[in-house]
Amino acid sequence: MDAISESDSGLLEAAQHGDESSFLSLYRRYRTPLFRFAWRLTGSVATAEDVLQECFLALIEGASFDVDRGSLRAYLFGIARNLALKRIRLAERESEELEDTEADLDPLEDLLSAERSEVVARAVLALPPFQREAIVLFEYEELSLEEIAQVAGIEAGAVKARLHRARETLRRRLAPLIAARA
Amino acid sequence: MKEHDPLNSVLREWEAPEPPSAVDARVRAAYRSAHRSSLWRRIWSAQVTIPVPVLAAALLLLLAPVLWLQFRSHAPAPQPATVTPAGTGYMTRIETAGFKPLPDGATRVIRSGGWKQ
Repeated sequence: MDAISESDSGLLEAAQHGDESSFLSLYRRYRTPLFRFAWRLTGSVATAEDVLQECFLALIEGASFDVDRGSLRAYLFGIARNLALKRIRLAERESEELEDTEADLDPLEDLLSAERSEVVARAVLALPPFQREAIVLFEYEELSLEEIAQVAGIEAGAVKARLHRARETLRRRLAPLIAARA
Repeated sequence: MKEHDPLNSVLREWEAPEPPSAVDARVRAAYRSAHRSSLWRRIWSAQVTIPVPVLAAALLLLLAPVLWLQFRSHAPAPQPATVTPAGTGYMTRIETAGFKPLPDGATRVIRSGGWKQ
C-alpha cells in the first residue's frame, strides 16, 4: 500500500462521515482522469459529466472499497467504467445504426476532411467497448495491466489479449496516419 | 508494452477536454444534499474511543447495584425459634409471632388433658 492509497482511504473515510474538505481533496485528485476516461469511452461531454458525478456519489454513499484489494484509483475507474458501459449499452439500444462502424471508416478520407485527432477518436470509439476501455486505460490513463484487470474484473491475461486485439485493429484503421508519421 | 510503437504517438493526438467547471458545482451540491439527508445515518455510525480500563470501570459501576440486589435476595432469611422438649422424642415448632406476655407476669400451669373451656 503506497502513501497515496493510504491517504486516499483516510480521505474517503472522512468524506463518508461528512467532511467536505476531504471529499473535495479526493474529487480534485481524480476528477480529470475519470472525466477523460468517461469521455473517451462514451464520446460525450454530457455523459462524462454524469458519470463523474454519479461515480463520486456512489463512492460516498455506498462504497465497499477495501484498501487490501487494490487502489482507490482502480476502484474509482471501475465505478466509472460500469456507469459508462451502462450508458453505452443504452445508447446502442436506442440507436438504429447498430452495424459495425468500421465499414464507415475511411482513414484517407478522414485525413482530408477532419483533424487527425478526430480520426484517432473515431477509430478508438469504433472499437468494441471492452477493447476500448482497455486501450483507454492503458494508453491514456497509464494504468497497469493489474489495475485494468481490477477495474474490469478479469484476469490480467485477458486484459493483455484485449489490448492486443485493440492495438491490431487501431493499427489497421490508422495505418495512413502511422505511415505519415514514420 | 511496445514503447517505440508509432501507434502510441498517433494515439496521443487524441486529446481529451478538461471537465467543465459546472460539473464541480454539481458534484459539490450532490455531496451536500446526500449528507444533509443522512444525519441519522451519521449519528448511528458515530464512533467513540474509550480506553479499556475506563470501559471496565464504567461497566462495574453500572453492574454494581444489580449485583448487590442479587446478593441481598439470596441471603438466608431468619428462621423461627425451635424448641425441643426433653424426653418427648419429637420436635415442636412454636410460632411466636403475635405472642404477648401477660401484663402481670403471672403463670398458670395446666395439667395435661386438664384444659376445659
